[in-house]
Formats: sequence, C-alpha cells, structure tokens
Amino acid sequence: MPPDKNREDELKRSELTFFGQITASVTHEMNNVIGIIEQVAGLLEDLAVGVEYGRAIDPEKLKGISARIITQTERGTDLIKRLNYFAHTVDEPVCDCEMDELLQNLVDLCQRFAILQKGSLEAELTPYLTVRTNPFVLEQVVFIALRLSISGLQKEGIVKLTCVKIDSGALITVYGPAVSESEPKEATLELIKTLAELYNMTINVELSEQSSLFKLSVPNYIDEAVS
Amino acid sequence: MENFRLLLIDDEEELVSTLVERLDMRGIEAEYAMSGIAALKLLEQKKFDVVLLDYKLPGMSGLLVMEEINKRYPQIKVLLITGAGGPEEEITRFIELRSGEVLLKPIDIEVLIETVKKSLKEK
Repeated sequence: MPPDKNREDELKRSELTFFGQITASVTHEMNNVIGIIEQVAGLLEDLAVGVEYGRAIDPEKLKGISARIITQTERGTDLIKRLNYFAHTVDEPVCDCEMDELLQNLVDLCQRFAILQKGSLEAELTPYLTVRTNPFVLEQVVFIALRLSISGLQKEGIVKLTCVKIDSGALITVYGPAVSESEPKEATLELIKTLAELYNMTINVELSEQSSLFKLSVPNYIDEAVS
Repeated sequence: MENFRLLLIDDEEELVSTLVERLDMRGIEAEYAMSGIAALKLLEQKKFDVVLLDYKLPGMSGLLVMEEINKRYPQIKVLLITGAGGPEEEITRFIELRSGEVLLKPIDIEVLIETVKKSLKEK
C-alpha cells in the first residue's frame, strides 16, 4: 500500500477513535443521568404507594425530589449541548474558532476521563481569542495531548490546559504528570505531529519522568489543509 | 426484613443513595460506597452478603475491586452493574462467564432484588 494511503487510513482511524471516545464518554454519563431520573421517579412512585396505605408525605421531601430531578435534567441538557457543539465542529473544514469556547467545551467533555483517574482538568483560557483553523483537527490534537497527560494522573492530580494569544496566533499548552508507561507514546506522538502539521500548527512535546508538557502553536489564519 | 445486606458501589452518589433509600422502603438493608477503596474499608467494618458493583469506577477499577472482594471475602456474592455498549459489552460477557450476574443500567429495582435473591439461592 502506498505510504500516503497508509497515512490517510491512519488519520481516518484516529478521527473515528477520537469521535468514538468522546461520544462513548458522554453517552455513558447520559445513561447515568437517565438512571438517576428513573430512580428518583421510582422513589416518587414508592411514596405514592405509601400514601395509598395511609402513610403521610412531607411536602419538603417532595420539594427535594423535584429539585433532584431538575438538577439531573440540567446536567443532561448541559451534556447534550456540549456534545452537540462538539459534533458541529466537523461541519466546516476551516472556520473562525473562538478558542476559549472551543477548548472549554473540550475540557468539559474530557473531565470524566480525569475523574476516572481520580484527578481533574483545569483550564485557563484567554477570552475573545479567535483563530481561523480546522476546529475538529485542533480538538483532536489537544485531546490526544490531554489523554496522554491524564494517563499519568494520580489521586487529586491536575492536568492543566492554557491558551494565550501570541503574535502568530494562539499558544495552547497542556501540562500534567508523566505519561503512563502503558501508553504507546511514540506512535501517538508521531500521529499528533502529523495532525498538527496538516493545518500549519506546530507542536512541541517535553516528556520527563516527572511531567508532560505539550505546546501547540496555532496560526492566526489558514484557508485549507497544507496537504 | 429481607435477610441479606447489600453494598452498592458506584461513583454516582445520587443514583446509589436513591437506590439505598428505595431498598430501605422495601425493608432491605443497604449501604453505598463511591469508590473501590471506600468499599473495601466498609467491608472491613461491616458484614455484607451481596455487593453490587459498577465496573467503571474512579481510581481502582471495578474489575480490580471484584478480584479483591473475591479474594478477601469469597462468601460475598458480587454482582456487576454496567452501561451498555462498546467494549463494556465485551467485559460484561467476560464477567458473565465468571460470576453469572450482570445488571444493565438503568437499573429496575424489582429486577435488582430478584437477581440478588436468585444469586444468593445459587450460592
């Protein structure tokens, strides 16, 4: 198979893996939200049955149950909004991207991956910073960096994402603990570089036994993929 | 009062606390823990007959918790709860082969009680 075809296949696989990991995580959480609403509704039914047998219900209890349902519906709505925003980032190959909005959404979508490692993600993003690039590829590159850093998270550890304005566009950094030994580092780093180069981004990776640092420069403006 | 004590392990507190409340209304003694470590501590302090475990837990994974419980407390019946889809289905099949009992989320409380009773009879 020609090398270009191999690379194309690899990039397509990576796109699908990325999309799959995000949707699997969100739908897992949605399933939990539905599960909670179902249990709380079941609790209401149990209380109603109790009333049929002459047991009284405290109105405060009902208010509390109503508040619990509202909290979960808000959580579900928020999840859907985030997933919907993410899904629309494949709409245009290149567009003006509000970096704080795009990256905050990605951080929110990835928070569960950090929680599963008992850690968390933090973001410090310069507001009103816009660059013209491919949002989906940008998300993918940042996601891979986040996943690598998250893999080394220990209890209460933090992976931090920042985005600041630089003359040439935006500088995104992902800083966290050392990448887990179980991660296929070389192949992943190769992939992340290939993806970044497609849209003239440059990525610098510093991995040590203590920490991981990814610095991604995104140019102000690009009209189409480089190759 | 049903004659078994149940420990639920899941990081979704709202889910497990509501389940515990509903089980209590049915006269079933149940408690919950939100991580594998917290569950193992609780198991050191109190006696349980059945553990209902979410396999996707923060920190120590559900599978590791299950292995630990099987090793330390072989008399306790461990049931697994999981969401459907993707690689989870493979793990579910794997666990089914080993323990025979898997409950899919969202959980129907009556199915949960029946499954627990059935698994205790099979012990």
